[in-house]
Amino acid sequence: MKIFQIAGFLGSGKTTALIKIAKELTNRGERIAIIVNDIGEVAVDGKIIEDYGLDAKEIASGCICCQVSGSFIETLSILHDSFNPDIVIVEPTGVAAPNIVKDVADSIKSIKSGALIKVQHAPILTIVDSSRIELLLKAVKRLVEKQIKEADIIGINKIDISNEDLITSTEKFVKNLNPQSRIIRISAKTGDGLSEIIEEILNGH
Amino acid sequence: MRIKPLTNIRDKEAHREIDGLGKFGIKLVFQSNNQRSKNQILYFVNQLLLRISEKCFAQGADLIGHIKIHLETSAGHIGASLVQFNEEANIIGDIDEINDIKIIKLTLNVIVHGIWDSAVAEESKIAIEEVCTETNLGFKYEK
Repeated sequence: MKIFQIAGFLGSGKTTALIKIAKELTNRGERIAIIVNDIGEVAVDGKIIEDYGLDAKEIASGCICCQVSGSFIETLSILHDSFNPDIVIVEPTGVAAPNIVKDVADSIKSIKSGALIKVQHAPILTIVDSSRIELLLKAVKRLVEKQIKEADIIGINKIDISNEDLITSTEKFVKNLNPQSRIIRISAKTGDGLSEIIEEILNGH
Repeated sequence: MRIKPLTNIRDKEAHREIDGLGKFGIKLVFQSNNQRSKNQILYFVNQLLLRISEKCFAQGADLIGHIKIHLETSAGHIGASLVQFNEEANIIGDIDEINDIKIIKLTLNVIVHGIWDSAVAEESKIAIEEVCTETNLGFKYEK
């Protein structure tokens, strides 16, 4: 079971990207499970995902990297024992720290046998909204930087509505923070750039 | 097997950032006094998202995390989100071009930066009431 995490601040385009990536992986014959985490008491993303014919497990009322990590572990364990998907796509809240989510996922055990389940991790994708990067860095700089630093792949999103100057400056900014990462220009809305991410999910580690 | 939450998670400090975010979520059922068309529903959704953002910014919010809606009608479902102040909502999904929509089930999730949960809740509820009055929709809270 491989876990693919789509991180990024609120409003960055995680859910839109998730829907397109999940549909494409399903078309390629992969057995997909989806876990979406909303920080609020009322979850919306799961409903939107289900409108696209995809089944999503919702975890609400807290963040899976800390407040509701137990629910996350339990959901992963149940998915493993009951469905054993090839890939679990995880959309944490927009305030989650990607490495902590990864650590939490490493601690899952089979509910049936109690044995530790060895999971693989696909590269962590952090999506960055290039169209409002300046606003984000004013208001939530530390969190956005953390999500960028902990990514393996960084999707510079909304290239369909952003301008070239903003896209280029966002690329420079993320490259400076995380020189090891692979940076891909994407539009979650139009699907541009997502095929490269799908190849990384299937072949990267 | 009993599953316990992890207690030895490193670097919880990232979540101090949460303190800057105000959150509100609610499920609502709207009943229209008149039959509604697709365009009227889309207008209502746009107005609701915009009004909530305006109210929150007037109280000191400086960034929209997201304002998201999932809406169910007899003519289909749509999702809508607003992440940028003073811009139109992004709408995905579709509802049919029929004119007999009378009941709308709506799930709303608001997260903004710069004001606290109670202020987000209050401003969101005021916005809901205003937009419902303007569009002649009654509503009741589900949660």
